[in-house]
Amino acid sequence: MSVRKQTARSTAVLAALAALGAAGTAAAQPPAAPGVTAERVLFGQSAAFNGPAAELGRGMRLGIEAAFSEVNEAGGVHGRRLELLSLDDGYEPEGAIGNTRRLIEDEGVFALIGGVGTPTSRSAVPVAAEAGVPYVAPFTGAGFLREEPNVINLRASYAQETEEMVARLTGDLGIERIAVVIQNDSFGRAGLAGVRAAFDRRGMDPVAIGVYPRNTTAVKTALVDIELGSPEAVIVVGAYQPVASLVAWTRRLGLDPVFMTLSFVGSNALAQELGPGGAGVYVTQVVPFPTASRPRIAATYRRALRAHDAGAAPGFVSFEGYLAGRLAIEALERCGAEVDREGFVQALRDAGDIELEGFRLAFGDGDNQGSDAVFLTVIDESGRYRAATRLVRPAAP
Amino acid sequence: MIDWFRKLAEGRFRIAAQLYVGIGGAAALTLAASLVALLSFQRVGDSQSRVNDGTVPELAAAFGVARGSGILVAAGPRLTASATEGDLDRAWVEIAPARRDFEERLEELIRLVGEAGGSVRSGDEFETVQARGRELAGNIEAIQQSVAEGFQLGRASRELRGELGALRGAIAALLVPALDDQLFYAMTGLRSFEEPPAPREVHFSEAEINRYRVLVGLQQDITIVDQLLASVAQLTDRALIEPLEEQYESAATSIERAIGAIDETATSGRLKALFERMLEKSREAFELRRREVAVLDRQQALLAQNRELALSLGPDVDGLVAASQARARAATLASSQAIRTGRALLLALNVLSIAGAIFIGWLFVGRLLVRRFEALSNSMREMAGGNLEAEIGVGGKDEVADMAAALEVFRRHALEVQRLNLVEKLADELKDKNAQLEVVLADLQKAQDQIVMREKLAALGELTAGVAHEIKNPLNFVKNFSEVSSELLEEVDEIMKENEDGSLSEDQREEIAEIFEDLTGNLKLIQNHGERANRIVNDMLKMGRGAAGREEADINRLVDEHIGLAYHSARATDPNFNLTIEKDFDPDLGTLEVVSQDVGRVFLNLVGNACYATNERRQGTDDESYEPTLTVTTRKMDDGVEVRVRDNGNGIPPDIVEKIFNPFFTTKPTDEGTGLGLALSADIVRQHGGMIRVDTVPGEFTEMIVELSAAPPDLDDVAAGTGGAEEAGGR
Repeated sequence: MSVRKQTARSTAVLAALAALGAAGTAAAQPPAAPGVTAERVLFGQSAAFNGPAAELGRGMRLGIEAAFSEVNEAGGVHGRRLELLSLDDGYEPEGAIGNTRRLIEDEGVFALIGGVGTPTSRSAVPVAAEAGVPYVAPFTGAGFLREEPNVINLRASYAQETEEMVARLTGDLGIERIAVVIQNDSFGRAGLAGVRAAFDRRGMDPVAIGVYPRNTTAVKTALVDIELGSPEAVIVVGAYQPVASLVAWTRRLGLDPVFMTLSFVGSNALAQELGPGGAGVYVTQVVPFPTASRPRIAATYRRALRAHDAGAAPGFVSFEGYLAGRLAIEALERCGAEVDREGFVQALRDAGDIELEGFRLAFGDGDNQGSDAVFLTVIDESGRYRAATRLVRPAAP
Repeated sequence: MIDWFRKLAEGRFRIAAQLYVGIGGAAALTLAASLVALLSFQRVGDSQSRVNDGTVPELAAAFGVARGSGILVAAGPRLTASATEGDLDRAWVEIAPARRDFEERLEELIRLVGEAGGSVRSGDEFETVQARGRELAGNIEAIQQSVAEGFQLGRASRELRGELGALRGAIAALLVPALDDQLFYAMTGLRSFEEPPAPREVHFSEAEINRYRVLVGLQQDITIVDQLLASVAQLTDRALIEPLEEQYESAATSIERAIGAIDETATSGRLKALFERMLEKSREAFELRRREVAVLDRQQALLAQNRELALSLGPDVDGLVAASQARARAATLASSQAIRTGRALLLALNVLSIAGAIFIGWLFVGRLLVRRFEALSNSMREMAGGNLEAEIGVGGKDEVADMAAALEVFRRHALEVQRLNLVEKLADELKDKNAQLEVVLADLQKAQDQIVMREKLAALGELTAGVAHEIKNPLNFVKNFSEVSSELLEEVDEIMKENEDGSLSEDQREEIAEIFEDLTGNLKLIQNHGERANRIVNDMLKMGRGAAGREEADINRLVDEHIGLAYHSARATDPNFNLTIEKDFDPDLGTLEVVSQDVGRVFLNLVGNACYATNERRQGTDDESYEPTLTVTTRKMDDGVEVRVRDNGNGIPPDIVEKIFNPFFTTKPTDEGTGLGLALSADIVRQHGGMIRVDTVPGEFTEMIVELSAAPPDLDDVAAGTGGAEEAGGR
């Protein structure tokens, strides 16, 4: 073929490519997925940074940012820096919907990460699903998120947490009179469903159920309700402020049931709220102790956290955030240089077992939840958490 | 003028005057026809321009209005469907040209109607269309304003909802813990963490429970207000707002009562303020919704009105169009009526003009002039022809009559003169005629001589080939015998020189004697052939000579010689030609006293014709077996001889057999025959007291039969018939 002809053909190919435009699939320079440029990948986060659940949003953001900073310091993923844009939804579903839309449509984020809360996730996930945007590692264990195809869950579900609680209460202490206090929303109902499933397996029923409105500390009505059931243990599905309030008022009434609450409560914040009176309150965790030496990733986390924010204390929530960030990094690395949203989700689905420095995750077809690990912890007299290897009935005050 | 008429009536009616009257009449008729045509065309033109100037633009404008109304009606829902103010502005900008166009069309229509004058137009329909069109255009603007107002209200409503939501949140933030606290207090007596619990009769009192009830009531009422506000925001039926508002008022009354019942605390103070504000804003929300619904209703009403306007505008415009069409039809009808009338008038006038012209032509030209001129001319012709007896009877008072009178005078004079000169004139004329005839006769004779001579010379030329052949034989003889003789003489000379002494032996003498005998015989033969050649040349010379006397001639020899001449002449013309000649000569024929060269020419002519005829047939046939044959028979008759020359040529067709003896009749090509051969032959034979007959069957044979009388008439009687021609002719 003559040079001339070749030039003509090249021109034709170029023209065809130009015609294909942004939709072109065979183009030499594929158009990057939204939020992805040669220099960076942008993630979005809608979480509570104000109100009773604010510590949860802050913790998650801190952890994710620590992970991102860490990898960015090391040159990014495939040369791209990872960035996080966080918006406050105040733990309200309307806010979550608005933020999600804004992050996807206006900010053009590649994926959403570290959303906080069940009702907020429940509202945000359909918006993200419609836009085909991955929803990574939300800070909730609600069951429905385990069935969404565009969701990647890091942590164990609430059902697993409550199963652990009921198993330990009945197993370690032989307690069968258990009351449940839930937040009056989908988070509370998700927790209640988990508890009921655990009860059903044992042919039990809650002795009383108390309900309090979300974003309030008006838990006294619930306290009055559960008091009527004379429970030996109370499983609380709520945020740290109302939970702390409930524990305090219960004890003020002279009652001393075993209090158990879900990871979502925000363990460090809860301990802080409760102060000295918090000793003996059990909290299930879905991540290992952030201050432990095992698994190795805990140390890495602490190092990254220190590097990112010297003044920040390690905590369960920020550790979960850090793990979420590491999960996202892992997925991006598995995608290779050419990143798109489908490939991102698929990379984790196809990965099977992933080990993040000793923290094991397992994904698969129909399994979008990485970790099944639940750790029961308890607040000691010094207001710190320790692993609850064996339950003890609290001594009556 | 009167004098002129009188003169015209009394005096002679001159041709000029007659013509002027005639032409004037015709011109008057033509002028009248032209005027009628002009008037008709004027009327047609008026009708057409009424259609063009009035109806057509009206129709166009009416159509434009009808079309524009449709666009505007469609524009209404587009405006109301705008989701944002930006959408509305864009839609409004896009609709603007259509609206402007519609208004312009409408104005144009109104202007046209105004110009035309309402009285002659279907004014009502135009006014309706005008009014509806303006209303339509106005409605579109009203819709736009209404939609804009709707957006304003919507904005205010959103703001209000936001405010109400915030209030609701603030109320809940106070009311929910208050309820929680109150219930807990009522149940446990604990108001705060630090204080010891109140005695049961205090905290579980009627008052505390009532307080709790009030708060629950508030909670319920505020929920009801919330729901009512949510419901009213969805309402589109204005009537349904009222019952909702009534319910709201009940709830509001209940809230106000409950607030009044709450103890004065810091929290209750804030709560009261919040509730009051909430109620105030709620009332505003109802009012706002009422206005929004009113705006929506108005939009719907305007849209419906526009649809109705467009629906009724359609038939109205149809009516207008129909009226315009009717007017156009009427105008067209009028113009075609005018055309018809004009045509009829023109036709009538044309017929009248043509009839008038014909009448004038007939009257003046035909009757008054031409007929009288003809009469005059006839008279003149008769006079010119010598008839001077007839009187000239042309009357009248004009110039023709003058001419007739003058001619009559002339006729009378001519009659006199004619009678006097007639005898003298006749004598002179006769003398002249005679002289002329003599000259003509002389000329004719000269011409005839010239023709005959030319014929002769031509024949002579033709004959030369035959003659040359005839002469060639004797000359050959002469040449050969001369050569032989010469050799014989050389032989004699040799014999004579054989002996030195000049003596001759007996043998030599005998030999010489024999040679001399041969020489004598040779010379005799040379003489005979020389004589024959001489005779031939003499014959030819005789033929060329003008006249010759009769002499005794051997007819058989004469015939034989001329057959040979003719045959060889023919062969000279066409070397391929061969002829079988059968001679059946009567040996007892003897001699006749004839002009031998003339008679010879007759046979030459006949045989020549036979050669020509057989050659023609030979060339015209594919039959190889055809053999041109000439049979010449001589017979002695009682009073002369008969010579038959028969050929097996093409024969002579019956239609020309009569003409073959006519002078100048020939069937040969122009340059080959003169047509005089047979005519001259017949003359020659007639001069010898004989005749030529012909017997022929076309396609088979021709036989020419020549009879020569033994006692020919006196030569002088037929002196004029001298000469003849060898030239073939006559077939």
